[in-house]
Amino acid sequence: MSRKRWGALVLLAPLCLALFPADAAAGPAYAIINARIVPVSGAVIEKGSVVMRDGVIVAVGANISIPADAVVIDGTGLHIYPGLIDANTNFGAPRPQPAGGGQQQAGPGGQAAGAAGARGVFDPDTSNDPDRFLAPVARGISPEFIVARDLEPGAERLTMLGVGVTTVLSVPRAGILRGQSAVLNLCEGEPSDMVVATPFALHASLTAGGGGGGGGGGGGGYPGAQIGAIAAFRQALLDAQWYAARKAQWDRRGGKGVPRAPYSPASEALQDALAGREPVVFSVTRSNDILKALRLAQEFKLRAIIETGGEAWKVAADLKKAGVPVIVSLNFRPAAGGGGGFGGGFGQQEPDPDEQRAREQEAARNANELVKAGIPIAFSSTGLTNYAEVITNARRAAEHLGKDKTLEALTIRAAEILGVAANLGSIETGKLANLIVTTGHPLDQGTQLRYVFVDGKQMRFRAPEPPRGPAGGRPPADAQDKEVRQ
Amino acid sequence: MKLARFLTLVTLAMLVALPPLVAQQKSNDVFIQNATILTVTKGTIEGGSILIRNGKIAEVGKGLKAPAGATVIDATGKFVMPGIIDQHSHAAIDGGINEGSLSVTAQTRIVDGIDPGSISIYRALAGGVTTLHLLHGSANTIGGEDAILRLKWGRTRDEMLFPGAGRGIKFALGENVKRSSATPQPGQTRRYPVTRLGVENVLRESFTRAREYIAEWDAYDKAKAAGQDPPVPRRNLTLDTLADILRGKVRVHAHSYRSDEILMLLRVADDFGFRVRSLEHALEAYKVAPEILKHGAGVSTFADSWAYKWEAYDAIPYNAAICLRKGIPVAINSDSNERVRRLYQEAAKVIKYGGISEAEALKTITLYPAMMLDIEKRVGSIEVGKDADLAIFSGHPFAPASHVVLTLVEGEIFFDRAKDLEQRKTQKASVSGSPGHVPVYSCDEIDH
Repeated sequence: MSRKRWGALVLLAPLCLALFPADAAAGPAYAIINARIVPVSGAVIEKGSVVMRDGVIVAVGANISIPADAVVIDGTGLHIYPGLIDANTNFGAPRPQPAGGGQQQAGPGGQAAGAAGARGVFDPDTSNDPDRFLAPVARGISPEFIVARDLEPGAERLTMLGVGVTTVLSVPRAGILRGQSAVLNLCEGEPSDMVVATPFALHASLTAGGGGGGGGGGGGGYPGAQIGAIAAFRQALLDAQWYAARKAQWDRRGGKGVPRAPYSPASEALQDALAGREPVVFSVTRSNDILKALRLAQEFKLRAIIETGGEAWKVAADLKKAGVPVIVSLNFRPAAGGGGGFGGGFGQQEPDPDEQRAREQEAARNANELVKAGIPIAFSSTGLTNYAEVITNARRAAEHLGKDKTLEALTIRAAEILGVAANLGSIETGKLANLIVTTGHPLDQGTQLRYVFVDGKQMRFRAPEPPRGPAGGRPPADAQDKEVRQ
Repeated sequence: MKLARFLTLVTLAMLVALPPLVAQQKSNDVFIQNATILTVTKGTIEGGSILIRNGKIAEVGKGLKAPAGATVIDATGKFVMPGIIDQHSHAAIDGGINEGSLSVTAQTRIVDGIDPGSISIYRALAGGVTTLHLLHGSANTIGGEDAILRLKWGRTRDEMLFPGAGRGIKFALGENVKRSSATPQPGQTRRYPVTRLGVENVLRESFTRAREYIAEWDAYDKAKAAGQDPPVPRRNLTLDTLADILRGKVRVHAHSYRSDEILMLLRVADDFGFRVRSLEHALEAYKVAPEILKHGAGVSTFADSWAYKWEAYDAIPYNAAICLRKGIPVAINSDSNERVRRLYQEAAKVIKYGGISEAEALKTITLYPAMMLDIEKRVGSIEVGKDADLAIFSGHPFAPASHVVLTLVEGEIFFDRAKDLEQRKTQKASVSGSPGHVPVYSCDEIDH
């Protein structure tokens, strides 16, 4: 059945409803019949049906009855899989991110650390003020930012649906303590309609982002270097602990005879993470940075998740020991350069093409190495410039990890890591009806996507342009270089 | 094919990464025999032996016998000296060595940035270096806390951190601090201070605040001890470290060039009651050697670099010799991932310039830096009870043609020239055969 014809069907749906009014509380039902169903969480049903109503899967099986009011799709020769989950995106995250409140904590003298504020750059007229340079306001500290409150979904949604992704983690764009993410279904409607769970996690990185760097000069503001970012991270969490202690004292004594601690949205926002109620996702690239993140998590007893690229296998033992799940990028192009930072250019070699290829292959093997070590993984599109590579690179990962486990990581394992396994990640009665209907296994070359359902509704989608370059999804060398050198 | 290439790469990477297997039996004894031993503190022993047990030097002298089962290293014709300590390095740090946004960043810690996989560690080992003093860069009046790294190549960061080492911090004076402040790129704002006067002001303001911070916490602790319920003060990581400097818990290592700024710092330190443990570079130290001696600071300098920038204009190669003659401990440092491989040649220059004795010259890269870092009880000389951090040279380390044959840390071999030469053959073959090119690591670079 062509997409055009299906579009016509959708248009007919309200009409059907009008003709066959169902139970007042119930919306329209859809049924895909005679399809091969791969629930991921259970045995394959070679020929069966899925019935959805009100966004929920109401029945799955070989011999289920199809409601009389259901819009029926003939799935003969087609396969039904759970919608795929992209466990780290900036989809929906506003740009630029609204400025965080920063710390704005009281300094020792009781005054707000202050007006050096939002940019953290000293005003030349006043920068000899020790209240400022001894109690700096770090940029990139905005844990109170909640992405679900400011969603700006973009048109790339159609392309994401076009590779079968129906759920994403929407993550604030940049910063050390970036803010809090949301699990989104890529449905139509108002941005807030997309939100499945919020906040999911606090997101952190070891760089304030933007300019600065570790160079000699000040430009870009504090912090610039990674050691500065780590110090700012530490200070923010210590501030949150201090804030909690002062608040507890206030509450204990009913505010009698206790100096008032100023309200800090940032410190408020960090309490759940500090108490282990909310996970902290660290976005880091190099394997050494993973170790740095794990140490910070241990220092503050945080429930960490590592979001990273192709080097995680090098520290699989440390990840396993820490009991930390990993969100693995499907971008296999190696991260730029050596350690980076100040003067990193001296003696830096141009990336060797052989070495680059070798590192890409390492990255493709990465997921398998992690799974072999017993680490739960999900996949993400972090760093991809062409969304089609979610599938083409997942295929490359599957050459090592196997198709089934790769598919699990794209569905049920991702749902587990994102805390939504009760509602997403597999085809089961009672779960949200996020389904993709295909001509075969999504990780087989040549498989085509026929229908995408999100929250039980059929979605329009746009097939992404296939990655340029030779089969296997590697873009031509010039594109690679651009990526590496940015 | 792809897999084969990958495996070749991994295998080669492992060959490079792993220390030679012979040295991996830590519990076993190691016996170095027939060596000329430069003990540094107890003279030279010709035809001597060193017994290493559990990573420590158990016996040193003539006429020792190798215990049964010991790994024997025959050092006939070779020289053994204590592992070299580079008192000033920025190697093996990733993510930037300068938090240059502010002029006081005592809250930063170099230990947070260590990259134990940096090839600069292996290269330093090839120069007989066993310990690196890793410092924050020199962009700030008060930089970050330091780290002391033991070069156990192939191990984790925690296995490489010098056990029991105390805390230290980098200060900087003069041009780098001013320049970092005064040359904003488009879109950047200037950073205070932009003059040497301002640097002094930053120091005085900082330690005045640190005193207030200490008083604040002392008052809190006192009230708490008296059974009251005082509001807990906010911890400020910057002031935490500055307060610990005033409490004498943090060594101060101050990048400095000119004699006037050296005197300024010593006065500030005296006024606030802390000690500067070493003046880094200090190319004009010779002008104010009595004052430095009186304060009790060491001098960690270059052997013969001068006039390479304005504040090095008055530098002379006799700086180290003059300071040594005054009784100041002097270290010759590298401040460079390249020079670190030949610090023994740098140390030899203090003999050429000023006629310092061979023993004293050796101390500039062993015992004196160890003293500045408070690790001299464990390293810095070949003595019974000290850690077996040793460099074995093909000839006298001060002879121009000598090179390092073996480098041991706590009795384990972490550099073996013979094995290195073997590996080079394999690597060459693989490069010419295309697949399995071994990555050439970039230097993490340095600043002053």
